[in-house]
Amino acid sequence: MHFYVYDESLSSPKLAHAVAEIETRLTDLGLQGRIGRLGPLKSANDMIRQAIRSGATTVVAVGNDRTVADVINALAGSDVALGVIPIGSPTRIAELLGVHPGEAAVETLAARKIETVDLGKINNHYFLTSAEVSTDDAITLECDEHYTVSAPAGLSVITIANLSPGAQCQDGYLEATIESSRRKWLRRSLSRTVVPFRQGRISSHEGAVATVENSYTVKLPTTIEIIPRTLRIVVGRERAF
Amino acid sequence: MFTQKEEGFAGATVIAEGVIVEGNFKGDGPMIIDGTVKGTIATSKSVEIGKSATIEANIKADSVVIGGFVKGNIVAKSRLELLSGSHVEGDIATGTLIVAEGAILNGKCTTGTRTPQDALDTKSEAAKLKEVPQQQKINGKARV
Repeated sequence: MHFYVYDESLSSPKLAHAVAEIETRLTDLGLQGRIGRLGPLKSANDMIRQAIRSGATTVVAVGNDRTVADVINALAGSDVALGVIPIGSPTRIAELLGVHPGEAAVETLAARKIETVDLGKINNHYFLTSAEVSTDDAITLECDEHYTVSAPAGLSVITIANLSPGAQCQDGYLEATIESSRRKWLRRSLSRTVVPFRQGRISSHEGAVATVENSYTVKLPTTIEIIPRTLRIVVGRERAF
Repeated sequence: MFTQKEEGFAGATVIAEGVIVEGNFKGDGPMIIDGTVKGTIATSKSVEIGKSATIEANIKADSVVIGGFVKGNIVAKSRLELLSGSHVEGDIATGTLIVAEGAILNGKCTTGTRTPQDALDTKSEAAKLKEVPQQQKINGKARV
């Protein structure tokens, strides 16, 4: 049985046509199920827990990256599969999973190709793709209790990725990428550090903020780790892993 | 360069210039280091130390290429290459040693078929070296 989690933004008249098309296609393919609508007073956690108790075997996030991020946090560690139907923006998670917008997403859901993937965990929030810190401050990353990586002060972007075009989400590692812009004589050069790790702690002197899954923020310092093979997810053929 | 296999991280670990790593820096894949490392470096694959790198660490890897400054012992199982302008202060042990003109090596050097780790671990190093003809030893300062 499918349970559909609709993002709050889907009630907008702008998206009404797209939603109607998807619902028609779901009915055509016999994939209709119960619908839960997110709202200020309705958390994804509660409605998904209830749906699982009622026998849901697949929970489908219908909306943007924020919707998917909410559903991932509710499903992590369970046997229930996650499906994604991207509507609105941004929909980067769906792109990485090889799920195209519109009716194509329904076809992917019907094909039901399932992969079990790792999830990152930052400050007790799960994430599938990445957490990003952009700061002028010096950043320190303590990795696997063995070593520390320190990036000097200056404009740096630190990305901790589980799934990205460069990082796979089934290898049991998070990939930390530090991109720094350095002034050398009269030129600016961009340098990139790439470090794989399983668990660590990221901190900065000034208490910078990490943006997770392009959806929510976590203040530094914070712990971050990989939870291997903890989410079953419906993927498309053109996925990034 | 950053591609990975399904099991285990198989992409390269890269430390850029200006970045400092301290501690027991272990990895499963190749490492490319242009920054600073203090502690130890260990991987079952290759290590490339760039010209801008400053290493104060013992290095253990399958193969090692050095272009910058290294203070520490190096064990390279199959191959160790010292590029022109490289500077090593420490003992080295490797299967095959390649030294470019202008490289500086200050330390004991063991090459050959013997396990490189044994060469640095054994206390009776001097006595054993005499028995193994294919190994060479450079004591004190050597400029190639």
